[in-house]
Amino acid sequence: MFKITTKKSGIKARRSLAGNIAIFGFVAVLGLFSAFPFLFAIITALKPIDELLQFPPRLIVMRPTLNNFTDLFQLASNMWVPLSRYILNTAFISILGTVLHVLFAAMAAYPLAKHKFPGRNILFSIIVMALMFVPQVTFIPQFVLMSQLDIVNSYAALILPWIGASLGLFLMKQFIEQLPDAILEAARIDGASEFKTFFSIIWPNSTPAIMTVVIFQFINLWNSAPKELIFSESLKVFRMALEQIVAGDPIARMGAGAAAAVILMIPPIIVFILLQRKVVETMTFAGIK
Amino acid sequence: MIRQLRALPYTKKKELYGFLFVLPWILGFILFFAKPLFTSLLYSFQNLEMTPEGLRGVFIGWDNFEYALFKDPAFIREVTNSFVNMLYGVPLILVYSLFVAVLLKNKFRGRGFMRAVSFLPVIIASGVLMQILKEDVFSQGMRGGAESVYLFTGAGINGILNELGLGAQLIEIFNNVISRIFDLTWRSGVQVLLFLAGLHAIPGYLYEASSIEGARPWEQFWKITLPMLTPMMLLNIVYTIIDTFTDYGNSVILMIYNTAFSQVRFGYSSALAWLYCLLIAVFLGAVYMLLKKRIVYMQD
Repeated sequence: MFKITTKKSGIKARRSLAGNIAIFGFVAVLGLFSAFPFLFAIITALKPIDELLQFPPRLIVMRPTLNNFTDLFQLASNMWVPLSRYILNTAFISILGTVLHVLFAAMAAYPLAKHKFPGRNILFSIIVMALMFVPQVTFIPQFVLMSQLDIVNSYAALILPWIGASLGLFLMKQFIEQLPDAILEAARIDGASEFKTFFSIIWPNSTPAIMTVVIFQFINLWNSAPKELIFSESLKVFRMALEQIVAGDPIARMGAGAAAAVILMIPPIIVFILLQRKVVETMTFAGIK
Repeated sequence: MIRQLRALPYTKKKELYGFLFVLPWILGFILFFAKPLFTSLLYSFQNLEMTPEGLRGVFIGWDNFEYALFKDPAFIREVTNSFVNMLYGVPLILVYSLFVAVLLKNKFRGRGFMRAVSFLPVIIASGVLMQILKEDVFSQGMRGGAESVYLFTGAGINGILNELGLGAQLIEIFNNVISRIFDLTWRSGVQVLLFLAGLHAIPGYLYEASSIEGARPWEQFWKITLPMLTPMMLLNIVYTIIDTFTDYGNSVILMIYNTAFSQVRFGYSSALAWLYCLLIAVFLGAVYMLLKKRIVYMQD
C-alpha cells in the first residue's frame, strides 16, 4: 500500500491499479472535507444578492457574478484611508514580525540544541512550560505593560512580543537537535566562528524547520486583528478594515464580506504553496541523514 | 577585557557564545512573557477593581483558588469535559494525520496541491473567514474551530440532504459522522505537515536495505517508518495536547475569557487560568515521562 521510492535506485513496492485508484479517491474525499469551507467562501463570494439571501443556502451558484468584489472595492474607496495602505500595513507587520521571530528563535535554538552551558536544561524546561500557558493568562498584564512602555497604538506592540515567543523556538530546537554533531565539528576544525557556524551550517540545514515556523508565523500575523492595540486608522491592518466595511451592514454586505474573506485568504495560501515543498522536501538532503 | 575573552578556553567561549545567541530571545521572553506571567500570578491572589486611576488590587490570599475548586459550579465540570475531549481527540488526530501524511508522501500528480489542501483548515480556521461567516453573515456568535464546523453541516449539508430526500433521522446520523470528520480534518493540518516532514527525514537506504532483505511495505511501515517517526510523534503529541487545550473553542478558555472581559473579574480569571495551566502542565509532564523512553533516535 505504501509506495517506497528511494532516491538512488528507484525501487518501487508493487501497487496495483485498484490500489492507486483507492488511494487517490481517499485523498480526494479528505481534500474535499478540508477544502469545503474555502470553496464555500468562494461560492458565496460569487453569488448575486438574491441567491445570497436564499434559505436554506444552496451549495452551488446559479449565476456567478463578480459584483461582490467590485462592491467591496467601491466600499473601500469611500474610506478616507486608501485600501492599499491597509494592505501595506498588514504586509509590513507580517513580514517584519515573521523575520524577527524566526531569526531570534533560530539563534536561541542553536545553543539550546547543540551547546552545553549552565542553565540549558532549566531554560528548555521553562520554554516547554511557556508553551502551556494560554495567551489569556498574560493578556491583561501584557496590555498594562505595553501602555507603560508607551508602545500601544504602534507596531512595536504587535511585533515585539513575538521575539520572546516559545513555539518557534521549541520546534527549531527539536529540529536542530537532529542535525549530526559531525558537521558542526567539521566546521569548527575548519576554523569557523560560532556566528559563521550558525549562519552557514545551522541556518541552511534547518530550512525545513525555519519554513515551518515562517508559515505559522506569517499566517498568524496576517490574520491578526489587534483591536485592543491599534486605534489609529492609518495604522490599522487589512482585516480590521474589511471587518469595518462588512460591519456597516452585515446583511447587505454579506457578499462583500465573503469576497473580502477570499481576498484575505489568498496570501497565506500562496505562502504555504511556495514554502511547503521546502518544508517537506529539504529533509532528504545528502549531508544530513 | 577583550584579551581576557580571547584567552578563554574553547569550551568557555562556546558557553559565552551560547548565552549571546540566546540573549535576544531571553530579553523578549522576560519582558513580554515572564513579567506579565508573574503579574498575572499576583493578580490571581487579588481582588482587582477598575478605578479611574487604573487597576487596583486588594490581596485576598487563596480565596480565588478556593472559590474555583470548591464553590464554582462550572469550573471543575468544564475542566473534566475538556480532559475527556482531549483523551479521545488526541489519538484520533494523531492516527488520522499519520495516515494522511503517509498517503501524501506518495508521489502522484497534484501532490503539492493536495498538501496545500490538507493544510487549508489551518490557514482558514485561524483566520478571518470564520469570523466573517460566523459573526456577520450568520451572526450566531459561534467561536472556534470545533463550533464553526457545525455551521457548515447545519447550513450547507443539511440543505443538500434535504434536497436528496433523506429522512430526518438519517440526516442526523449523517450529520454527526460528517461533523466528526470535519472536526478531525480541521484540527490536524499542522500535524499532517509535521508528520510529512518526519517521513521525508527517514533515510531511503533503510527501506532499500529492508526490501532487499525481503520486507513487505506493511512490515517496513511498522519496523522502519513508525520507530523512525517517534521523535516527531512526541512533538506531535505535545503539540496536539496543547492545541486542544488552548483552542479558542475550548470551553475552559471561553470561561476564562468571559470571566475577565464580560464579568470584569480579572483576579478570578487569572486564578482560573493559572489552575488550568497547572493541570495541563502536570498532565503533559506525565505524558512526556511515559513516552520519553520509547523514543528512537537514529544513531549516526
